[in-house]
Amino acid sequence: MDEDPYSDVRERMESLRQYSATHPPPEHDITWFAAFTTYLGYAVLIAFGRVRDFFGLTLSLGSRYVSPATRKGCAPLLQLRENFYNRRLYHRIQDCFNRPVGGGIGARCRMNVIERVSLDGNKSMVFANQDTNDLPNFTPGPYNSLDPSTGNLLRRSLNLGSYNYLGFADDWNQTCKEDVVGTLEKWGVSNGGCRVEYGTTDMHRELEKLVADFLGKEDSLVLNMGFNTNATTIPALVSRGDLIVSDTLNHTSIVNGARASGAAIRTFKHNNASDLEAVLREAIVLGQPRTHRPWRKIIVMVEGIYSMEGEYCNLKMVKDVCKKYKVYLYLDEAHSIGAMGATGRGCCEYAGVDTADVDVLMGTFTKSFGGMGGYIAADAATIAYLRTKCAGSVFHNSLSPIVCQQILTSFRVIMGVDGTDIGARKLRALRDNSNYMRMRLTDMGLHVLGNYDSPIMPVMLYNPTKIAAFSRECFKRGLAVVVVGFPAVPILMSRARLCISAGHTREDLDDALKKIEEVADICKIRYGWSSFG
Amino acid sequence: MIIWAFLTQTKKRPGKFDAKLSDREKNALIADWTPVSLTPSLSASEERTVSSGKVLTGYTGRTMTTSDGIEAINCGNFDFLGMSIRGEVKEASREALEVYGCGSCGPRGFYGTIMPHVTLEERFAEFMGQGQQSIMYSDGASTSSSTVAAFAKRGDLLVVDEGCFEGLLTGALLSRSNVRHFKHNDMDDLRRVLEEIKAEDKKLGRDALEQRRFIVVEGIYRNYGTVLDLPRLVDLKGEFGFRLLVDESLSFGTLGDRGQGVTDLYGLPGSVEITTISLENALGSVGGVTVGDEEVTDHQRLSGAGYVFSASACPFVSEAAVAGLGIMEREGKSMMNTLKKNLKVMLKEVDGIKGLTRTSDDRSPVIFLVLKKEIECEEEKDILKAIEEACMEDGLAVVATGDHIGKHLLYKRVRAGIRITVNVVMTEKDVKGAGRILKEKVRMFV
Repeated sequence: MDEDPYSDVRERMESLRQYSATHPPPEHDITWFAAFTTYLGYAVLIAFGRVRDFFGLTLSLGSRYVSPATRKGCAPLLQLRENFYNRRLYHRIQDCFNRPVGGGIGARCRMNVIERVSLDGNKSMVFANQDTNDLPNFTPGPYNSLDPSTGNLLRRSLNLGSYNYLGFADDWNQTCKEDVVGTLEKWGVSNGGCRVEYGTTDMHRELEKLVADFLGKEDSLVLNMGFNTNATTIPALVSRGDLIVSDTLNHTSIVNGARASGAAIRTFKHNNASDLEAVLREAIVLGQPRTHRPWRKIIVMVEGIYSMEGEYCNLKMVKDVCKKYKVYLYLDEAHSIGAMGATGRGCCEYAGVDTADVDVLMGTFTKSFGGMGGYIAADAATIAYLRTKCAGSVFHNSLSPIVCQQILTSFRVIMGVDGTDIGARKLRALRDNSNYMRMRLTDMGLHVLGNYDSPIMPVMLYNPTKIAAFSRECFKRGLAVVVVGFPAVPILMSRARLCISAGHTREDLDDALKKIEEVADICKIRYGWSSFG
Repeated sequence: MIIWAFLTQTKKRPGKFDAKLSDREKNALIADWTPVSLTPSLSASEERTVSSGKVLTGYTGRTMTTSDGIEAINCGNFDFLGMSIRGEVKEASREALEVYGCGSCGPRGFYGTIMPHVTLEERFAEFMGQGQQSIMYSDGASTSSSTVAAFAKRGDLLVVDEGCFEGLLTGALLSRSNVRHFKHNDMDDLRRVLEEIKAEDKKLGRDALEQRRFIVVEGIYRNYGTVLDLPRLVDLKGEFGFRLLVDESLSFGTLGDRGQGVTDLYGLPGSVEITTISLENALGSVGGVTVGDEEVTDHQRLSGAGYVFSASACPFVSEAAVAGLGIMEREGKSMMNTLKKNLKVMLKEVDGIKGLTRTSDDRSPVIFLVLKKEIECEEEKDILKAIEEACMEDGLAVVATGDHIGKHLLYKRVRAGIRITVNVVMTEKDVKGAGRILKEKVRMFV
C-alpha cells in the first residue's frame, strides 16, 4: 500500500468522521451581525438600483432600459421590474459566474480559466484579449499566462468547482481514452433516434445491465441527460390523484418533473424524518383535497447528497417512515453515486440501507463517471413501464454511444474489474481529501455546512457583497471556486461551494487552504470564531 | 420593511388535521390505506414494444444492423444528412476528446463552459446569419421545453399548435402561462383563436401590451410530418401582436436551399423571434441550441432551466456539431438536392401503396402513412406494429408510431401511423427497395 499522505492527522480525521456519522451536522446559525449587514447590503443595492432606474428611465440614459427585441404591438420580452435583479445585482458580479475554461487542459484539477472583462459597465463580458480589447500590458505571473494562439488571457487555477469527484477528468488519458476514442471507429457521435426508435445499441443494454447489477436492482434505463431523467420520469410515474412528498431542498429537475406530472405536491422540512412522518400522516388521513378520497399512491422524493448543502440524506430514517406508511421512495443520487459508500454504490451503501427498500433509484453519469446522462433503476416491471411511457425514452434521443463507453469504462475502474486498484484508490482519496479539507476549513473558524465523507462543502458567506469578494480574491490566487447567491439559495444564505476530487493531492489542498485563510481574513467570514466574522 | 416581508413569508400547508378525529381513528385510517402499485401493468401491445425493441450492433448511416443479425435499410432515424458517421465529424470529435476528455463535470455556470461550447454558439449564430445569437443546451428536446418556460411566465399567453411534440407541450405546461390550442397546422383555426383573444381583450379592457404572447409551432411536425405555413403565420403574428417560437429540430438541415429550415424554405429570414433546434437530428451530434437576438439568448443564461441546472454538454459533441455545420456550409446545396431527389422517389413509391394514405407534406423527409380505413385503435396499433416487424425481417427499418406516441398524456389525439424517413446516404436502389418491401408487407396485413 502507498504511503498515507494524511498519516499525521489520520486519527483526528477518523474520529471526526465517526462522530459526524452518528450525529446530525452542526447547525450554523447566521450571526445577528451578518444577518443585519446582509439585509442592509440588499437594501442598499436595491435602493441604488431603483434610483438609477428612475433617472435612467426619466432621462432615457443607457441601453439597459430598452428591450431591443420589442416590436411594435408586442409586449416587451422582459419587463423592467422582472429583470431588476439581473440588471442591478447580478450584473455587478457576473464575472464570478459562467467563467469559460480554455483549451488544452487535459487534467481538470488544473485548468486554464479564460479571463474576461466588461467593456459596457458590466452589462456583458468579453474575453480579455490583449490584441482586441486594448488592455494594459500583460505581465506574466505565477497564475496568469497568455494563450499564444488566440491572445486570450488565461488564469491557471486549481479546480475546486467541478463535480469531478473521482477525478476521471484528470487521469482520463490513462483510464478511459483508449476505450472511448476507440468507440468512434464503430459508432457515430449520436444515433439520431430515441430509445424505442432505433436509438438503443448493445452498449446501452450492457450499461443498463451493469447499472442494475451495481445497484442490486432488477433493471435500469439510461437516458441522455441527468436533468431530464428526473424531469421526464416523474411525470410517467405519478399523475393526478397521486401525491409527491418532496424534501424542501430538492433539485430543480425534481421540481420540474413534479410540476409537469399533475400530481399534488407537499414538502417536508429538509432531511427531517419526523416532519416527513407528520406530513404523511396528515396526507393519508385527510386524503385528496376537497374530495377527501384516498390518494392512489404517495411517493417520497429525496436526494442522496444535497448539492447546495453538502449534506447527505438521512436515508435510514426516511426509509423506515416510508415502510411504515406504505409509501414509495424515490432517491436521487446525482451527487452520491460513485462518490459515497465503501465501493461507490452511493447513499444506500453508505447508510446501510438495502437498495431493495428504495423503490426507484435515480442518478447521473455527469459527476463521478465523467460522462453525461442519467439512469433510473428499479424492478423490472417499473422499468418496462418507463421504457414505453417516459418521455426521455420515447421522444428524446438516446445517450451517445461514445458517452456510453466512457461510463462503461469508468464503471469498470470503480468496480475494480479492470484488474487494477485505481478505483479503490480513487474512492479512498476522495474520502480522505474531503474529510481533511472539511476538518481544516472548520478549524479555520469558517461556517462549513454538511457532513464528513461528503465531497461538497459549502462555506457560508452570508453577505451578498462577499460573494464577489470571495470569488475574486480566490481567483486572483489561482483558486476556481463556485459561489452561490439568491435565488439559488435563500436570501440570507449566500455561500461558496468547494467540491473536492480524488484528483486533488494533499499539497493542492494545503496550498488552497493557505489561500482560503488569506481570503477569509480579507472577507471576514470566520463566523465560527466571532459574530463579526 | 424588507425584513418584515421576509419574516412573514411562511408557507401554509394545505389541510389541517380535523380536530374531531382521535388518534385511534387516524391510525385506523392509516392502516386501512393501501396504495396502488407503483406502475400499472402494461397492455399486450406495450409489452410487445418493450420486448421487440430493436438493439443495434452496427450503424453506417445507410443501414443499421440489429442484434438478430439483420442489416436493414435505414428509414427509421433522423440522421438525415448521414452526419454522425462522417469522417470529418468523427475526426473533430476525436481531437476534442483528446484535448478535453469526455464529460464536462459541471453546469455552464460553474466551470462547465468550455471553449467548444463557446465556439459552437458563435459558429451557429454565424450560420443562421441575421445578427442572431445562439445558446447551447445539452439535450435536444429539453432545449424546447426550457426555452418556452424561460420566456412565458404566469399571466402570459401561449397559442400552441395542438400537434406539437412533447418537448414544446411540456414547456408550455411548465411555464404556467395561459395556453390556448389551435387545430393542427390550420391557419384559419389559428385566426379564429386569435380573434377570440382579441375580443376577450376588448371585453375585459385588457391591454395586449401587458402580456407576452407567443405562437408556438414546429417547422416540420415530429408527429405528423407536416410543414409549417410560415408566410401566413407571419402575417397573423404581425396583425395580432404575437411573437413566434418555432422548433426547427426536424426542419433544420432538411428544408430550404442551404438547409436552414422553414425561414430558408419560404425566404423569410428574421421572421421568427425564437428558434429551437436539436443538434441530434441533421447534425448527428448531441444537444440543442436556441437561436434569437441577444436579449433572447442572454435571458436564458439565467432562466433556461435545462441550461442553468443541468451539466453542460460534453465538449466533443460541440466540436462534432461545429464540424457538421462546416459540412453543411460546404455541401449544403448538394445535400439538399440529394435529399429532395430521394424524397421524390420515395414518395412515388409509397403513394402507390394500397390501404395507406400519406398525411405528411410533400417537402418533408419525415413521411407519415396512416391506414386508409379507420379501425379500432388497439387493432390499428397491432397491424402497424406487425408491419414494422415484418419490414425489419426483410431488411427495412421503419417506425410504427402507434404505441409510444399515441398514448402520451399530453396529446389529445395523434393518429398512429408508419413513419419513414429518407436521408442523403441512401441510394436510389435503397429507396426503391424500401418501397417494395413496405408495399409487400402492407399487402400482407391490411
